[in-house]
Amino acid sequence: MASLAIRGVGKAFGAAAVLRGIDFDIADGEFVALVGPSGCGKSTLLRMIAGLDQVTEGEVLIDGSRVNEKPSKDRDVAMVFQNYALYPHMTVRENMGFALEMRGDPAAERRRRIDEAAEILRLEPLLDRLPRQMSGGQQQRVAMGRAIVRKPKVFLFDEPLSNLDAKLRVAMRAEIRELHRRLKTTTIYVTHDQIEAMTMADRLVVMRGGVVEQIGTPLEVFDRPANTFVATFIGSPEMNLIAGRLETEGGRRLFRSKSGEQLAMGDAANGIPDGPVQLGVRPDHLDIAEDGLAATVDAVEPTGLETMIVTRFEGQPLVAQQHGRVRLVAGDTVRLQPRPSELHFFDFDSGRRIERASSNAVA
Amino acid sequence: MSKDINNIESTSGISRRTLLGQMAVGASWLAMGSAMGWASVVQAAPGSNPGKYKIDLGGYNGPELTSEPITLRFMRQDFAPSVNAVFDNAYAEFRKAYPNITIEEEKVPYGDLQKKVQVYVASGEGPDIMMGRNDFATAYAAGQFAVPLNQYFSQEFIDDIVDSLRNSGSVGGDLLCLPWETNPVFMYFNRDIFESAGIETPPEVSDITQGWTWDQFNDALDRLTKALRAKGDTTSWALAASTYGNGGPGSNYAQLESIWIRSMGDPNADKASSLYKTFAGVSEDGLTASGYLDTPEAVQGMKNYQFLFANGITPKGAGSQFREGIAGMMVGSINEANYMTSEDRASTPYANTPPFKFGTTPLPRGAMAFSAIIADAPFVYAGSPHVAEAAALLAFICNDANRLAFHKEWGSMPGRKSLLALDPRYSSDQSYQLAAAVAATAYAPPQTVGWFDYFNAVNPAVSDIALGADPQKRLTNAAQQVDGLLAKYK
Amino acid sequence: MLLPALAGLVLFQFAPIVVGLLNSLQSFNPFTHRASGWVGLNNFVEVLAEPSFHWAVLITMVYVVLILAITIPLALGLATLLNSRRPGTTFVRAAVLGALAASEAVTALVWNQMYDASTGLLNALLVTLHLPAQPFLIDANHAVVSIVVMTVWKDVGLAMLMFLAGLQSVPGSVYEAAALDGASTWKVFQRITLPLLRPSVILVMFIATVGATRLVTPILILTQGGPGGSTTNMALYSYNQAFSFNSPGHAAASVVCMMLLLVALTGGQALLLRRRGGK
Repeated sequence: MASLAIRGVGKAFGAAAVLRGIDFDIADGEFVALVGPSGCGKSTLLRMIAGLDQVTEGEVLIDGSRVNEKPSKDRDVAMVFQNYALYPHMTVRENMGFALEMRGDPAAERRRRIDEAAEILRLEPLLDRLPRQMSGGQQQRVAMGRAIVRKPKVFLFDEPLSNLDAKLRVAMRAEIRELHRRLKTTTIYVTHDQIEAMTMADRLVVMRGGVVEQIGTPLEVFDRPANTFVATFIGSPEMNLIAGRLETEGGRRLFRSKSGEQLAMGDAANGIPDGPVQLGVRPDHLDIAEDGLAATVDAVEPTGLETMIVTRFEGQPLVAQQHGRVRLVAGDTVRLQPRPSELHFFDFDSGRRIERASSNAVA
Repeated sequence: MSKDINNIESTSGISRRTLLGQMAVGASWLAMGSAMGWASVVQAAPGSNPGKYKIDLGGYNGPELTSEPITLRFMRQDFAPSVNAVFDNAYAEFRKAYPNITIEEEKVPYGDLQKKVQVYVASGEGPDIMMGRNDFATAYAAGQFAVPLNQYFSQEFIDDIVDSLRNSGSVGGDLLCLPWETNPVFMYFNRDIFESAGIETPPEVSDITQGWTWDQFNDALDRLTKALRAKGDTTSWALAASTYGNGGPGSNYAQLESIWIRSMGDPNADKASSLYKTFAGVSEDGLTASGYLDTPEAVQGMKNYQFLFANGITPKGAGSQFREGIAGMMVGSINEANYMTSEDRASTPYANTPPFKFGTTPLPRGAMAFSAIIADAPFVYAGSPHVAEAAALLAFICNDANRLAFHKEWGSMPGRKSLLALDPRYSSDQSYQLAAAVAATAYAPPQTVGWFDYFNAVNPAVSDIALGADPQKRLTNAAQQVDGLLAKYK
Repeated sequence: MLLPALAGLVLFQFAPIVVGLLNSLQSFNPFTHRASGWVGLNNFVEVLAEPSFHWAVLITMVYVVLILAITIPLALGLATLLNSRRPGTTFVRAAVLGALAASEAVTALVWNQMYDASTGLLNALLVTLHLPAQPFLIDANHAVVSIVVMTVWKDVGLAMLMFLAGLQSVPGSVYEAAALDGASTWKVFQRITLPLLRPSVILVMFIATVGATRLVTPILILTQGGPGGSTTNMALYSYNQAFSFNSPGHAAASVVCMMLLLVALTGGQALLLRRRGGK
């Protein structure tokens, strides 16, 4: 087990920079998810930590010592690949034992460790199978087994669940989390699925376009997104953004949308100067009311417990999530009122979060 | 003409004999230059039938040709374009007289000819005329797939063929193929190389019994080799690689290897003697080679042959060293003289070689002066549906005009006495006289119906001996192999 | 839809085999090469009694063993090199595939010149390097090796392509996993690459065995089967029987023997490799 530090890391393929100025620390035993849309550089960063890609700028430290120049095999990290990357010609036992054999563990020790890992992952009945004789989920567990038998300093997961069906994915999520709880090995987990990241990780590193947008615990990131990108990327359904201005009229703060619709702000915008802003509100903080933004219903999507009302406001989609059933049909006009305490404000141009004076954000 | 002589004189280093040769060539070529017009002068050549057919069908005296539309196919070797043109011109003339007869040619590489003949004969559907070789006449007779040409050619025409050639193409009085040219072989030498090495040149005679013996030959070439090497010359050879072989290692003389063996025998010796058997090469019934191919004399002949390779006198690989001016001697036919004295040297194999003085001498002799006679000899396929027309076309191609045009372009020696008589060189120039003398006295290959098998088995043996195999063992082995191969003809 | 392919198969694959089998049981007129009667197994008896045929069988096996022993490691090495996409591999690829694309006969003619004892390029090189000149096509042992070397040079590209296809069908992540598992380059080759190429190895062995057994053009051009018949394999023996020695029956019998040997060789290989593969 180990701590990890990423110091000013960048990566360029020729003239094209895919990663810039990545900087964060991972504590011993921590489970960190690198999350972001595809192409954000998260997998490249992971591969650089693994030693599969060269670090062209900055440094990667494991337990405080620089590993930039170390080949993969000397870094003592284990990786679980998206396509599992099992050795097709080896049985499960041989797959799991390969690394141990390479480092010269005696046969008895190998057997003990494999059996132990197999027990943890419930792989005992599969030990003599070849990869092609197993389901995707089983293969993924073998890939994890191969990683854990070594007791490496760091686990690296590269989108390990994206080849599995939705139901299995949920089950495997729990299994990986459970595994981490048991082994407490420092883990870096790359995913494009924010729910996966939210539900599994101790901390998220949200990335976009080769830079880190925000680092924090899942709830920190969810509750106080650092910018409009994080705000819309984390959380599902995603946060609504409404463009407009904050104004003060007769001592009362109000938000005026482009078309002139007004929302009373009360204390919600305290400390935020008048001027153009982007107003962020999560769908479940948008209530149907007498008063509010007049939006046209595009679709009503009941999911049982909740109902999604997809509307259109000033040409932009505006989604509200209501408990229970709603009697609305497409074409109806509905008034939507955000809960002032749950509002997020972002700089109109940069999209950066603007904090209110009195912070009572965490509900 | 005078311009040509000026050109020749302006070239230094030309011997008198070369000059004479060139003049002779010039004169005769000039005579043949207007071959078509000139042909009328010789229309009464032996065996021709002036006026009997629409065109000069040469020696043909069979029935008038059909007026039905038919196609005649002729398979022959491919020549240079200028030689092929001779055929095309002849066909055009033939077509003019017999527009109902279409002629199709199949041209194959020379080395494939005999195998191709076999394949066609086996298939039962061969071209009407195929290019055979005189040494296969016995096989043509035994297999009954060549039409005896006596049925379609006048006796005078057949008698006009050089005797040794005619005999080699005949079995039991039937002429089975028509040897249409001859390549009597003798030796060329590069006088410049001999002289600069201080080695005496071989006798320049046309009497084939007056050449070097094998011992003299090997001795002179050995000394020449040593003289060349002593001067630091590592590229020249005393004897050029054979141009008759297949280009494989152990440069060989293909069918002509028999020169080394059979010259050690004697056709006039007692038939039970080793000397006679050595000459015969095969038993009287043509079915046994053991005791003929591997006599002590034959072994000595092959030792003489091996001597050349073992002592670095001749290359083990292929090449055309004589034509490149880097060989003291070579075995060749009259084509070489024609090339070297051609007024159009640039179109000959000597195009890139500075002229050198050459001479000719008979092949070395053992107990006898021996030369084998091998000639391309087309035959009419017995399976042809148009035998008479095929014979007529063959006769037409072999009429005087067409033959002369062919020899002019190709440079080979005519196979008929009347044509030879037209070329004054064959009575005045030593090289040509030598060629004629060889042609007149050359012998057919060992008389066996299995000649094809015979030489295919012996040829590799000769090659192996060149490369160092023990002559006694290898010849015995080859003789046994031939015995086995000939068994099927019993 | 299947009919034309089937007709082609019958016409060009099965018919010749049947004709060959029938011919091996008949005698032939040596002049016309037409069948002249049934002789049972007589052709086989005669061929099998021939010492030169015994040698041809032996030398056929020698070609197969030598060609396989050189082709497979060489092709594997080249394929690995090309797969690494190092600089310069494009040149290697072009060179190897160029040799493969060249005509076999032309290649043999070129090598024939290079092998020439007195005027060839190879001996010129050896002499320049102060090494003794070699009797490449002249000495029996040298000649066999010379033929093998030319054949391998000519045909290694096909095996290389098959190995390359095999290599490229292995996902890169498998190699990355092996690197993370601490395997050295050699261990990766030995434990991952080689086992994963097993199907390619089987295919290459099969194709090379068939090719080496049927080898004839290079022999015909380089040595004509000599010296002393030492380079004559079964294919050339059959060819000689048919085209040099007017014995189509013997030719057919030896071809049938060659087919049987080929079936035995490839069948044996398949058995051996399958068994080891199914461990």
